[in-house]
Amino acid sequence: MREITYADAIREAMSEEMRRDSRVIFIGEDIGVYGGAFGVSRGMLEEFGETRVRDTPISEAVIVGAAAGAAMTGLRPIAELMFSDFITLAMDQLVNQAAKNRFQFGSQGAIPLVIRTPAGSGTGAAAQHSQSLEAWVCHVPGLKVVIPSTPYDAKGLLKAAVRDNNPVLFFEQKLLYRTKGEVPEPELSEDHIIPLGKADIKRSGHDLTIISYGRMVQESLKAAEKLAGIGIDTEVLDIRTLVPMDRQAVIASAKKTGRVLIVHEAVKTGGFGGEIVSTIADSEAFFYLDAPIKRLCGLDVPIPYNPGLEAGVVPSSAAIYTSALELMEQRQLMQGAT
Amino acid sequence: MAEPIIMPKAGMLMHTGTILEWYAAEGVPIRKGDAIAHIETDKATMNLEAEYEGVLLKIVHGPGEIVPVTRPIAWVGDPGEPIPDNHHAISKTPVNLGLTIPLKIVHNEKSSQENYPASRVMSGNLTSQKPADKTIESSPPAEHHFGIYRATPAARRTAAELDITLGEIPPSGRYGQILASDVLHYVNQRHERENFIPMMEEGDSFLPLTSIQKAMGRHLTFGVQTIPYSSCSMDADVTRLVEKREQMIKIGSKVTITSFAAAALAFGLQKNRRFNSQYDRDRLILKGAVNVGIAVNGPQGLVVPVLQHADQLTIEEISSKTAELSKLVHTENISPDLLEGATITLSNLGPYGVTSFIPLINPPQSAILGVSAVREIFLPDPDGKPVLKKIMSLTLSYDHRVGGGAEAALLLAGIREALEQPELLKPQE
Repeated sequence: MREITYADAIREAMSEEMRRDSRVIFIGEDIGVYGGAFGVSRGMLEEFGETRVRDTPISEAVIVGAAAGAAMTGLRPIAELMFSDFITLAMDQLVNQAAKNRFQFGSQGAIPLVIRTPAGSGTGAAAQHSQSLEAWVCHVPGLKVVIPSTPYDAKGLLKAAVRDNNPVLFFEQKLLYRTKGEVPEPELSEDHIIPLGKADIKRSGHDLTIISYGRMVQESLKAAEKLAGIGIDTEVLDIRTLVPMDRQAVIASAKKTGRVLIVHEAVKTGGFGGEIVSTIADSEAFFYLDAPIKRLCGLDVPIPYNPGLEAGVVPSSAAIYTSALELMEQRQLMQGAT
Repeated sequence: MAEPIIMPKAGMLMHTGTILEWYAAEGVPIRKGDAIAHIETDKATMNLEAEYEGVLLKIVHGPGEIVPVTRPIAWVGDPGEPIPDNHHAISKTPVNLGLTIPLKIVHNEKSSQENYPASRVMSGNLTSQKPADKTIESSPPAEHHFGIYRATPAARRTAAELDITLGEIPPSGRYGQILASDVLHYVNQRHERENFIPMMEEGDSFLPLTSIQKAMGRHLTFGVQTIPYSSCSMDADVTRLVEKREQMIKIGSKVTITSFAAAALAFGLQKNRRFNSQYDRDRLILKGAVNVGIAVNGPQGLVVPVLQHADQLTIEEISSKTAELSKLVHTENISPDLLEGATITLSNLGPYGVTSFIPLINPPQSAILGVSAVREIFLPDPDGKPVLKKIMSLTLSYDHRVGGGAEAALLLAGIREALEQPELLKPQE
């Protein structure tokens, strides 16, 4: 299989869906002439023209509001917010309009809308351009929330999101844009749809489960590789779709290994990790736990501008490795001595 | 107000104690220092002394009962004084629940709401302790925390599926919690036990094992099942050592071969420190002190008291300390504290005429040295002429995870060196 970048995978998904379905349009700041702040949409204006690839003024409220309105008229818009931090400015359109419309109008007026937006730290963009705010939108019924960790998933999940009849928040990981991974050839793309709500076992193991999403899946896989070196067989479960969550996959993996570490970049307090913990604790998997469930998350602080501090406030593969060891070393020194 | 007498925690590995006998009776006045009860741990028996004056108001646990450490076993106070209801209730609890794993004893001193701080209990000389503070009234009811086992959900589910009581299962968790693997391990062992059906015929009888013998059985079974061990042997020429000992005895010393062997073992360990350690999965815990266990055949079974800092003792000191420890074992008055902390044990079967044997490692120790009888053998001198020598066979059984054959041989060579050249041992002062 060929290898392409995460950013290329997203562009391919959008372009293919726009070619397939003329109702799909693309709207956002600097997505047309400039090609997107991260170059994701380079060349799309040339292919699809100004009617379908629309640059907007600097107003997130307008982008989301206009896209939601367009969706109600029967179009299937993809909206881009340049940084997910600016979702604050679109919250009313998103939470009170897009998420509620279908419910309040008796299933009429579906909102087939995708909001793509880059998230996460690691680019030296400081506290207002580096956050991971996915937990906010997970709390609003009516929205779906997707965070892919690989180019393969990014393409398949985005195509599924565009075909979904509900508003989907699609968080992209800034630090993953340039990472490469295997993605099926364009001629096979019609089959490359990853249904929303399906988690993915990125690595199978028996000793403990790391549950994660987004960039932290990659860090977890690195840690799992290191853990394998000392004989710890780690399963890495990529949750991929936070809403709807694949509860069965989470429960099955927790039952299988009995030890669970949850990793996300977003701050711990009020983070989505707590939702995963309670999903396990609230299921039959509880009775299979052989250690407390641990969370390794971003520190409860704004992301610092200083690069050293920035790297220090979010989990790394080294920190994941250490946390996994702690989870495994529940035995006392003089094991079994009575 | 009435004060509790509690089951002392006399060693890090002591979880429960058995009351063998009450010397004092209810309603009888007792004085500080009186031996009031005889209790037994896995490793030894000992007398429990009263720490304060008063009348023995209530015996909560009678002879034969197994009680978790730090729990009240009796109450002392002024005649007619009331006893707190909640702890009183313990006496009504079935004995089999007495195998409760003690909660929060070592790790969390702040938990004095449920248990008196372990450090206080352990620092005492095996006498009962006053409660750390007046928390008896505010303690949760006995039923609330009595019979609670610390176990992971997986361990509980596994135990329930297999229909086992958690209290029977030795925990291996870091916090004293039972893990799922502990349940499975226990079941496997029980399965083996239950498949063995004793055939009794006319004239056969049962000999019940003492708790020390049972503990030794469990302990050594665990050791044999978990330690990949090997052993190696050497002969030491102890001709000069025997002469030296005879000289010392002439001037009144009571030094034994065992003492020389213990000193030589400490000498060897001090030179080759690898086996002066404890295996801990992916690392060794190298011990700072050289502590040597001495296997003693006591009246209740094999007991292994420990010579602390054996490398810093003279041969006379080792001899007198060994005699002291041995006496404590024989009078069944040895404190479990004196049975912990060794990395290696010395077992001397020489007095029984044994010429060589392979001893079993006493976990969590890393090795054991077996010393055999001194025997006379003709050996060729450099010219090939036979010379009468006194020879002793040494066998080291060692945990192969701690070190390999070459490392074990190095240690053994160090021990032999000291036995062949007794002047290398720490001189008398």
